[in-house]
Amino acid sequence: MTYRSISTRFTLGTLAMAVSLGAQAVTDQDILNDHATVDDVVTYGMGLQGQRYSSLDQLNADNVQSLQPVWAFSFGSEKMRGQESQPMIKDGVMYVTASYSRAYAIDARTGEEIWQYDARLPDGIMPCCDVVNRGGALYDDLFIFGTLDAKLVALNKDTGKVVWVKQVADYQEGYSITAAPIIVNGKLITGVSGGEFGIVGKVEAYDPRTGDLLWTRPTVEGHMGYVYQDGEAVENGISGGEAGLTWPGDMWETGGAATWLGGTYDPDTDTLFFGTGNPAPWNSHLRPGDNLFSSSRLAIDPNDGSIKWHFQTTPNDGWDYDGVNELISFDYEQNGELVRAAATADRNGFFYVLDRTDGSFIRGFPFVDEITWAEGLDENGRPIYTEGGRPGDPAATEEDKGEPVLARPAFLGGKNWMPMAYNQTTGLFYVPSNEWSMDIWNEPVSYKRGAAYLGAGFTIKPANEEFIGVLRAIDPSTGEEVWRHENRAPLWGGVMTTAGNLVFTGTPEGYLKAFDARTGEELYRFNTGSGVVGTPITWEMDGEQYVSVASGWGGAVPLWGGEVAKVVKDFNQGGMLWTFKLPSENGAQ
Amino acid sequence: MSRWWLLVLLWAGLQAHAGVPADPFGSPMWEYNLERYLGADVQVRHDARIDLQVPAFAEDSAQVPLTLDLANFPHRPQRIIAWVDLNPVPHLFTYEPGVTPLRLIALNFRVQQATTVRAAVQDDEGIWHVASAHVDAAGGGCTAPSLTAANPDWERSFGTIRGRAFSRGDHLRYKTSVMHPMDSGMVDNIPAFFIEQVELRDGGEDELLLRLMLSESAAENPMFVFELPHPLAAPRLWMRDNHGNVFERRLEGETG
Repeated sequence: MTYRSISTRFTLGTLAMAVSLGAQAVTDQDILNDHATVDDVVTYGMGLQGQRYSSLDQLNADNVQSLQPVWAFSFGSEKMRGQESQPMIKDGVMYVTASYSRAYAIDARTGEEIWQYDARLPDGIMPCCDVVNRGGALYDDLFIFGTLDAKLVALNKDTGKVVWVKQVADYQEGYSITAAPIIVNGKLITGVSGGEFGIVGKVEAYDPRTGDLLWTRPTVEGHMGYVYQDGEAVENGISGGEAGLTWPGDMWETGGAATWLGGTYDPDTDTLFFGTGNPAPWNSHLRPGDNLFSSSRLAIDPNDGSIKWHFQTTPNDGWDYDGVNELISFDYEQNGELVRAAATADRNGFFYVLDRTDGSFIRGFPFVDEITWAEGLDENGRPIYTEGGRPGDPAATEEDKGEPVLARPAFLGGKNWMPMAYNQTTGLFYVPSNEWSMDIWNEPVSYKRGAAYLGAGFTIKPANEEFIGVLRAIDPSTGEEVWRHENRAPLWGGVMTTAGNLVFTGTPEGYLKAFDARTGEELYRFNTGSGVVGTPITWEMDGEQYVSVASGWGGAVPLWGGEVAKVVKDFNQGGMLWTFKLPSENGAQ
Repeated sequence: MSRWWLLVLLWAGLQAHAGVPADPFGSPMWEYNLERYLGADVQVRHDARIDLQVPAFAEDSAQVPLTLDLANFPHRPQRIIAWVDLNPVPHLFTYEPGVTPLRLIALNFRVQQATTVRAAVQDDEGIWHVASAHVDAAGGGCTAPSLTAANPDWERSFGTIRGRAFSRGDHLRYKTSVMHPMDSGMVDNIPAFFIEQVELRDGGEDELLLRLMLSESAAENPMFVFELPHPLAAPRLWMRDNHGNVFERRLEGETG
């Protein structure tokens, strides 16, 4: 019930007032500086570059064993599905989203709810991979997030009232939004999900105060981009120049390349980095060619949506190796020279280090134990395909089904959506990865609006009996795996790291864990009661360092995991937000 | 006997002092809801010149017609607040006037159990004139799933507005309906989703003719009836729900 009796309403009113006394508008400056300020988290990624690194060290490898929960908050209702959200913090208020497109504001000191927004979703939503939401954006007095029926909703961050709502795409064609939008210099930037339904991916900018569309950039070659001036659409160039360069026939019209995981932003080069998903359909024999800009990283001008450069990790993708994983900007020195780099751990099993000024390939290497589909990368970072590594063409057989292959990694990826973290102190990336393979075969398929557009069958298998998940510390300058921590179930939660020599992540078994960032030694674990597939954050409040993480098992693994089911079938669903800190000097609160 | 009367007089005196007369229906929520919706220290009187019509028995607890006729009310209403005493969220609507006075308003509401219904009309001196009525009901109208919830295709007709104006002497009657589930938020797993704001504006000068604020007690796929003096041009109906959806339509008909 959203309405309450007069007495509770009064209490809530006073609470909201007390909170709003310190509540400030979120500015562009707050967002640009988010990585450097410890008392708030106002971006998805703990900074627009997405490093998920905090300079806080009050909590560190020497005292993390004493970490204790201070409060837990239930997302409520029967909608307990995957909780993949990253909370945000501003002026003592936590903003977090939950499964089924819900959003909450919570008093970060007490865990009491300030407001809740439940999207009224149509029954016909088509999320491919669970009804998750990964987070929102804060700007001015607004909290903005995307919904499973492909809308952006802007809520007043102090009251939870809807300020505006905008339809980004038609959910009946298969579009949805699960990623957190980001704010870059006064623009709200979002992608879309739906790559399994033959949609056309796009990146769009909106005016965060009004929801007015500012520009749109399709991510499939051949589609026109537009800039909007006074409500008028002005052509801003066809993506890739023209249709048909890397796609046969009219396949580009339903080419996929969904931007379903959102993006990051690098202020040094004033560039958005958005990844794109698989080309549609999965059956690659229907679309010979590179199929730009599917399974790629796109560098996009935030001012008008123009594509500056692209880097395609899996040309003519035949394994559903979406190229959506986050591209994290970082700097390092080599031979006394500063390198403005960006790194990503791809679904296809390779880790890439790129020059973020022009997208050129610096180095790449496998970050998983075995890759079957490619023998390696060439000097430009393009995969050298293994002969026979691609599922067979059904048109070449008498059957309805092409020759199956055993491919590794499985399509759920060497790493999936769950963001890795970069530690500026250790210079290492901490990558939540998985060791699994799949049998995959192709089938004939044709496009039908709003229907799954795959043309493939598959089943996933664990690569080892003992473990699937591996948290890895990777040196981006050498490709060396500095340490690894194996986990029986696949890892599906994001990672966060701190100057306190700590790495935090969660496991489907329910644990929030902390590791020594240099050695990988497990220093702390706490069972949250359901699988952790959210992304932890840390911040400072009243002089103390806090850690928060959402708990609630779900996501793509229980839906698509095939034989992984025997490992995960007993994990129960949930929907809680846990907050931790060290005991105060006068004892635990 | 005399002591009993003394007590009654004393009680009546206290009530009169607070400006609140006794409730002829004896509802336990009378004073509580008066204070909740009209505020403390207000002058309230029963007024038979306000014609509040509800059926004696609600055939359908989710769709109970309410008509508020102000034809015999001598004041120009400054504000009208209507509520359903025993509903989980009693508030039904708040009316704010525009440039012309309202003569009649009708809409459907939900009823959770047999209850009194109130319409409080504020005159230009700030005094609240209250009309009350009682509706008997099997109940459950606020917590039963909507018809919309049973229809997986509900988004196809969602937001469809039908409406027309009819001449009623020197007044015009607007009858308009909109397809909206108006979910109360009290049904499991269906969040509150209802039209909160309704505005009628003159089609020519864009002047406000009336504004309504609705709550969870309003019925699904609501139909509104308003009677106002003839406007200059066909007015525009504007509605916004609590999820930010906006519905708009010009109400054509016999305008003059």
